[in-house]
Amino acid sequence: MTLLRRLRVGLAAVLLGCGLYVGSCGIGVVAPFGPLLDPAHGIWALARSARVANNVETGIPSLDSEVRIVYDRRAVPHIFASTVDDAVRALGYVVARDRLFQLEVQTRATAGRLAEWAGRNALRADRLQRSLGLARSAEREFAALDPESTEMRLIQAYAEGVWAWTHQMQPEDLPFEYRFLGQEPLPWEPVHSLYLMKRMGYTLAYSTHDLTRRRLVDLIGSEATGDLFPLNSPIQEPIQPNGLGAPRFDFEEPVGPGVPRMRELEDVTAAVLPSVVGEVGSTSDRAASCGSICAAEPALASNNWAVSPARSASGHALLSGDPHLTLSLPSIWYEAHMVVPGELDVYGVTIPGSPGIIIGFNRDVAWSFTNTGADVLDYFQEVVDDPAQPSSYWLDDEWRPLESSVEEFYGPNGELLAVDTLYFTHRGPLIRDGGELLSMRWTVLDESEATVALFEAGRSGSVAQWVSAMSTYRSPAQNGIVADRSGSIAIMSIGAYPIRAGSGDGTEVRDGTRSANDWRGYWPVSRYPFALNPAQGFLASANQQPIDPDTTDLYLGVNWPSPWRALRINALLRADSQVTAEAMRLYHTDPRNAKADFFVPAFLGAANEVLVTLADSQLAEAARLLAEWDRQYTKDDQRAVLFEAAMNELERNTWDELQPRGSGRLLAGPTQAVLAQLVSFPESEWWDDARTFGVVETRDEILALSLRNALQNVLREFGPPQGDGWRWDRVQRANIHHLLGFMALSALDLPVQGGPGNLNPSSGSGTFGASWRMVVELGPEVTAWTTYPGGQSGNPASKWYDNRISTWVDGELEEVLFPISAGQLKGGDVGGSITLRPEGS
Amino acid sequence: MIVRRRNQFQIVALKVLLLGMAFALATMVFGWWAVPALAAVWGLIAPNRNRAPLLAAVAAGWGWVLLLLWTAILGPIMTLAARAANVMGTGSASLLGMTVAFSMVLAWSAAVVAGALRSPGRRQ
Repeated sequence: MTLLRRLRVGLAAVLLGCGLYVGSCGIGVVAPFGPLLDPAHGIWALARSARVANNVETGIPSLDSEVRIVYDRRAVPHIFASTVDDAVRALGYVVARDRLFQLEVQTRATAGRLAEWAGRNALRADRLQRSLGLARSAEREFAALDPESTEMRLIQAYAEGVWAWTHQMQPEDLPFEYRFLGQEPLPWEPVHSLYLMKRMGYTLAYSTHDLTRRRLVDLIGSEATGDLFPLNSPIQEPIQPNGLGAPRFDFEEPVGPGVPRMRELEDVTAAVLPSVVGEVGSTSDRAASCGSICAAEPALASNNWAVSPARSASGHALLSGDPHLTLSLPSIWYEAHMVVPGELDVYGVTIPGSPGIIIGFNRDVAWSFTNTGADVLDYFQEVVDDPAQPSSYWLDDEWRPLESSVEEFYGPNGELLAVDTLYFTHRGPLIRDGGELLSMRWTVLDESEATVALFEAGRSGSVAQWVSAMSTYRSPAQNGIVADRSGSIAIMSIGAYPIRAGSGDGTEVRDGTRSANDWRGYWPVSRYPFALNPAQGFLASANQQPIDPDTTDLYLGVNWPSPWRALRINALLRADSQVTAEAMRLYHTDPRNAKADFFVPAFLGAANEVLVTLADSQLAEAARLLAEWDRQYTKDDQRAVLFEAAMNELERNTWDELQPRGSGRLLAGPTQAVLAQLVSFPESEWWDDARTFGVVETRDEILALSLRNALQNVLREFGPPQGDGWRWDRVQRANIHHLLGFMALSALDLPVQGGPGNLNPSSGSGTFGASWRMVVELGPEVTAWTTYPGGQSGNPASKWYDNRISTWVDGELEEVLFPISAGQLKGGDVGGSITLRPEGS
Repeated sequence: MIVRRRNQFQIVALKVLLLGMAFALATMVFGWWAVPALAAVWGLIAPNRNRAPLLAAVAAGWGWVLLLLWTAILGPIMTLAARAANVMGTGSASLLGMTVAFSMVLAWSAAVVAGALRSPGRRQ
C-alpha cells in the first residue's frame, strides 16, 4: 500500500470514527446527528406529519365502539363517540397526537424532573417543585381514588387515548423537541392528569406573602404593614355586585412607617423566593428586560364577564372568557369539541393532560374562569428535635414523627445532581425560611375534585345545574362565570376556603406546636361570593376582591390586585345597555385604563402646583407631553410610555421605606390601588423620602419629581418624543416563548393594543397575556367566537403551529363550527378526519 | 472513444442511481446506520475498488436527497428547515447541506476503510 493510500485510509478511518461518534452521541447539547439528520426518521420527517390527519383509520385497544374525529378548517377536532369514555379516549388521542411534548413538559415540571433534560439549569426549579410536594400529593390522591369513581374512569380513559397514540405513532411523529434533546417520551400515566391540576394550583394559588409579611412587620411595623398590604382593597368594585352601581373608594390614611426592628434585614427575594416568581420572571429580571417602563405590579390577571338578555342588543345572554396566563408555544390551551349523543356536547379548550373541556360552552350553557387569588396557603412555625436532620416535631406537648422522603435529582446522562431529604408534618411539607422550619398547609395539596366538577359542568343544561356541578370544585379557587340560553347569568368564587383559628385571617405565620391553630374546616358553599341575575344586568370579574367587606366577615385573602381592569370592564358594561358580541370582542383589547384616569390628573395637578413656585423647564415639558395624552394604550400611542415611566418612578420614590438597607430593591411593593389611596393624603409620612436627610418631601413634590425623572429616563431610552421612538408598539410588545425557549420556535416582539392594568394586559417582558379569548351568544343556536395565541399543533413545521397569532395580535376572533353530528361538517369546513375503531374489529 | 466514454458515464450514472435508491431504501428500513453499513459492503464488493468510495458517497448523498424530495412532496420541508436550522444556530440551506454531507462523509469513509480490508487479489 502506497503512503498516499495509507494516508487516505487513515483519514477515512478518522472521518468514519468521527461520523459514527457524532452520529450516535452528538456534540455538546446537540442530540446525536444520525437520528437527528436521518431524512427518513429524523427531524425532516416532521414535515411529513405537519398536516392534519385525513382519512386515517386506526384501532385503539379498550375502545367501546367506533369514534369519528373530524378536524375542521381551524384544525379543531370534533369528536363524535357513543360513550363518554370513548370521547375522553379520543381526546387523549388527539391531544397526544398534537401536543405530546407539552404533555410531558407539564408532567416533568410538576414532578421536578426537568433537570433530566436540562441539567443543572433546571435543578433549582426541580428542587422547589419537589419541596412543595405537588407530585407526592397527586400520587396520594390517585392511590386513594375509588377505581369505579368517575374521576378514575376519566383519567384512565384519557391515558388509554394517549397510550394508543404513543404506541402507534410513526418515527416521523416524534415531536421535534425530543429529537433535539435526544430523548424518548416518558410513558404517560393516569396520575399525570392529577399532576396537571397540581401544576395549575402552583401557578394560580401559590404564595409566600405570609413570609414576606413577617419581614415587612419587622421593617415598618404591623400597623403600617396592615395598611399598605390590606385585607381589603381600598377601591371596591367587587365581583359579587354590592348594589352601589359604581366603585367605592374606601380611602383611609395609612399609618406611617414604624421604627424598623431589623434594618439589616435579609433580602427576602434572595432568601425565600428563589423560584417563586420564576413563571413571570423576578422583579430584577423584569426591570432588566423592560427598563423604565417596567410594571412594578406583576400582571397576573384574567377577565370574564356576562350580560343578561335585557342588556344585550340581540336579547340573548352573552358571555366572554378572557383568561390570562404565561404565553407559550405551543399554547397552554387546545381547542376541541366532544359529542356523545344524549350525554355530552361540549366545546371549548382543554389543557393537555386534562380529560375534558375546562372553559367553553355546550348547547345551553357557556362559562369561563378567572383566578380568585384566595389565601389558601398558611405557614406554621415548627419545633423539631434536630433542625439539621429532624425526625420528629413538637405538637400538643409530645413529639410526633415526621414523614420523610429522599429525593434524587438526575442529569441528562443519568448523573446524580443532588439529593434532598424532604420532611412532612400532618399539615404538609416542611420548608426552611432563613433559620426557621415552617410547615405548609395548602389546599392545592388536598384533593382537587376539579376533573369531575368540570366534567359535570360541561354537561349542565342551565346556570343552576352548572353552579351545582361546580360546587364540589376545591382548588385552585376560581371565579366561575356562567350564562345560559334561558337568559340567566351567574358568578361564583369557587374553591375550598379554610376556616382558621383565632382572628380567622391567614396573614400570619402560626404556631405549629398547637393543633388548635390548625385549619378547622372549610367555608360552606353557601358562604361563597355569588351572584345570580343581578339587577344591574351584568357580571364581571378581573381578579379583584370578590366580595364587599361591608357585607361579609368571610376572609378570602389579602393584598388584592389593583382593580383597574375591574373598574374598566364594569364601566364599559354600565355604559352600554345594548351590548353585542362585537362589542365584547372589542372589550378584550380596549385601550383605556382606569389607572391612567386616576393618576394622570394627579401628576398634572402636582406639576402645576410645583411649577407655581419653581421654574423647571423639564417638568413643564413632561407635564405638557403627558397632558397631550388621550390615556389610550393604542399601538400608535406616543405618550403611554411617559406615563408608565412616571408610575414606576412614583412607586420607587414613594416606597423607599420598604427597601431594606443595602438590599437595593423593595422587600415588597404595595399595589397601585394603595398608592392611589395615598394620593388622597398629601401630608402622609410615606411621601417623605427617607433617603434625603433634613428635607421632608410632600406628595406634589414626589409626583412632580417622578414625572420629571420619567421624562429623563424615556428620553434616554427611547429618544425624543418626535418620531416613532415613543410609539407604544415599539416600547411594549408581547413575547410568546417556546416551551424550551428556542427563539426560532417562539413568536417575539408582537405589537399588541394594551398595557399594564388594561383589559388586555401587556407589561414587562410581555410574556404574560390573554391566553384564550371567547365570546359566546346564547341564542336559540349557540354562536361562539374564539382565538388563542398559538395554534393547534405542537409541530413547528405545521401551519397550525402559530397560525392564530396574527388574529390574536389584531384582537380578532374566529367564529367556531359547532356541529351536532359529523355529517354537518362538509366541504371546506373539513380539514381532516380520523376514525378510531376498537382494536381487532 | 467518445461512444465508449458515454457508455461508461451512463453505467456510472446508473450505478449511482441504483445505489442511491438502495441507500434511500436502507435508510428508510434501518435508519442512518444503514449508510455506513451499505457503503462498507459496497467498498468490499464493488468491481472498481478505486472508484467505490466516491461512488458510494455520491450515491448516499443522492439517496438522502431523494428522501428529502419525497418529504418535500409530503410536507412543508422549508418551513421546518428554517425553524430547525435556527434552533441549531445555522441556516436552512446549511442544515440541508449538512444532512446530505453527513451521509456522503459516512459513505465515503466507510467504503474506503472497507476497501482497505479487501484482499489485494481483488484489487482492479
